[in-house]
Amino acid sequence: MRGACALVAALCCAYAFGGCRRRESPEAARARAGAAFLRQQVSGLEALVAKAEGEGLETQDQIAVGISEAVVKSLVDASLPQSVTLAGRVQLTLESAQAFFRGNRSALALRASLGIIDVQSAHAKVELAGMLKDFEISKGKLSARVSLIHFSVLEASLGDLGADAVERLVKQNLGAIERAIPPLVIPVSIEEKVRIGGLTEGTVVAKPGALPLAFSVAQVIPVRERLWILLDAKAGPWEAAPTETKP
Amino acid sequence: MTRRVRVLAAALAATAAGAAFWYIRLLPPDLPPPSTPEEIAALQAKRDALAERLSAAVAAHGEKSLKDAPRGGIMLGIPTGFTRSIVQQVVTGLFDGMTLTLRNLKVHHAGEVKAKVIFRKKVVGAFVLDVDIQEIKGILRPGAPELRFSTNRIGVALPVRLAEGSGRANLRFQWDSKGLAANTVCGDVDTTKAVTGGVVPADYRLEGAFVIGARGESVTLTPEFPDLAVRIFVDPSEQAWGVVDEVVKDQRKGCEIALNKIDLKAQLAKILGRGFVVKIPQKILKPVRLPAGVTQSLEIQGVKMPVTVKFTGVLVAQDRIWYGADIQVAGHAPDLAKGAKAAESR
Repeated sequence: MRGACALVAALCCAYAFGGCRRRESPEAARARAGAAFLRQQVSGLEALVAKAEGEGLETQDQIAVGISEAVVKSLVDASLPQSVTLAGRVQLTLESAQAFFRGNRSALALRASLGIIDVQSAHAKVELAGMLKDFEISKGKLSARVSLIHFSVLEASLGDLGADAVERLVKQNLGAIERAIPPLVIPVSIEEKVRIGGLTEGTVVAKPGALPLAFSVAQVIPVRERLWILLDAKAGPWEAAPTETKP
Repeated sequence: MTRRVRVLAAALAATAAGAAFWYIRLLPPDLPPPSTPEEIAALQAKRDALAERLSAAVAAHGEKSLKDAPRGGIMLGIPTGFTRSIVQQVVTGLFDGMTLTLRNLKVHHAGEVKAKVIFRKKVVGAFVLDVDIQEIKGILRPGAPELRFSTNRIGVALPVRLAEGSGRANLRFQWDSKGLAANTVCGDVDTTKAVTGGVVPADYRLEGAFVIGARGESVTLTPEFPDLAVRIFVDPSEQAWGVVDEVVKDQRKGCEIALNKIDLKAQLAKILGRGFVVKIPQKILKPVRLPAGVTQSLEIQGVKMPVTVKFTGVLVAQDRIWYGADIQVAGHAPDLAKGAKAAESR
């Protein structure tokens, strides 16, 4: 009877091992992810086209900031490498980035290497994919954060079993990895005031003043390899400053 | 016997589990087959067609200049409406309450009075009228500016009104009687009185342009305006006219007749009627930097990275002012990892 139970348990385990099927090749995984990304772009564009054709896409009064994929790649790359220690014994190093702004999707793919501390022979290559989110203007700076949504193990020195373990580890520490990615700071300066000096010499006296400006991120449209950030902008009213009198 | 069966059963179970594991392990992944190159190409074509349709729809809804905008790693498009709002508010803000102050102006006017004495006309006296204007202050108020966008400039026409003002002056009148008869009847007069006045409102029009250009990392509007000449006409107050009347009335009756010939009020009006010119210099208008530009350095997690900006072009269109630039971030890898916290052990 006990033997029969053990057999059933073993078969159940074997059935459960269904999750441990042979891993897909990196090429096939990339092709599948590429196709999924294309489908997302098509659906994103369909929604955007419907909005634009239905007069729901108002942009004319907004400041347009357009950044190419190459610029974002160079910005993120300049802040790399970034390392994060996972579970106290595995070091993940973010090495390079690639930006994709297409079909109303702002994606960022990051290549990372992973190694076990003190075991030099154990290593893996991981690809992480994220979306840009939380665009904001603060103190004249325009920035966004990266939200990781997907990852895949490209290669692992310990074979498929090692790749499974890496996947589990990365999945458990996705938040920590996300925090290690520096915010994307877009090299655009947004002035909060237009300051104009006055004139206090001679017969003409004009008060200096400043025109306060207010900006906020209205919409983000990643399309045709460029990320468009549209800002609502408001100017005024003019604030006259007290006239400076010469002693 | 039972023990043997158990061991055999356990061995069989382990073998079956191992076999099942490896069988499943060798199965292809439980996923549909990846898309074929034809399917991928079809998706790309659909995406590109939609992107074209989007561009057309966006252009049809006002973004007409996007296709001509200077390309670059970074593109900035500032709506002309927003630029208009900035220019209007800066120009009117600067002119609103602008004061024109003239101090220590001296106006001198002298003449003679002839009168028929017995048979012929003779000079009966000479007068000197000195107006010592201590201060005249005029205040300007701007109207609504008219802006006109063209290839690389914004034409500005600003109505400016010399709206109000005031002044104070000392009026000195000297009369020197000539001849015995005049001296007997009138004598000499030298009187100084303080007078006040206002400013005659007048309208002016300041016309010029802001030239649009890229100065380094942003778009700058550089003023090109001529000096604006404002002529201030003093309007003597009732008090001032009263003072002039007093000067005449204070004299003896015979003298009053002679002084009335001078018509002091007319003389004063003639002097002040020329007005006083004040030039508002061109430098009153300063260059205006549009508030969105490209930075020349970035700070990420406390690390400064220099950015090289290569300007690619400016386009002034009816809907936007476009600025394009290529940028290069210094290719060094800051050791930001020090700041990153290690993940908690799980």
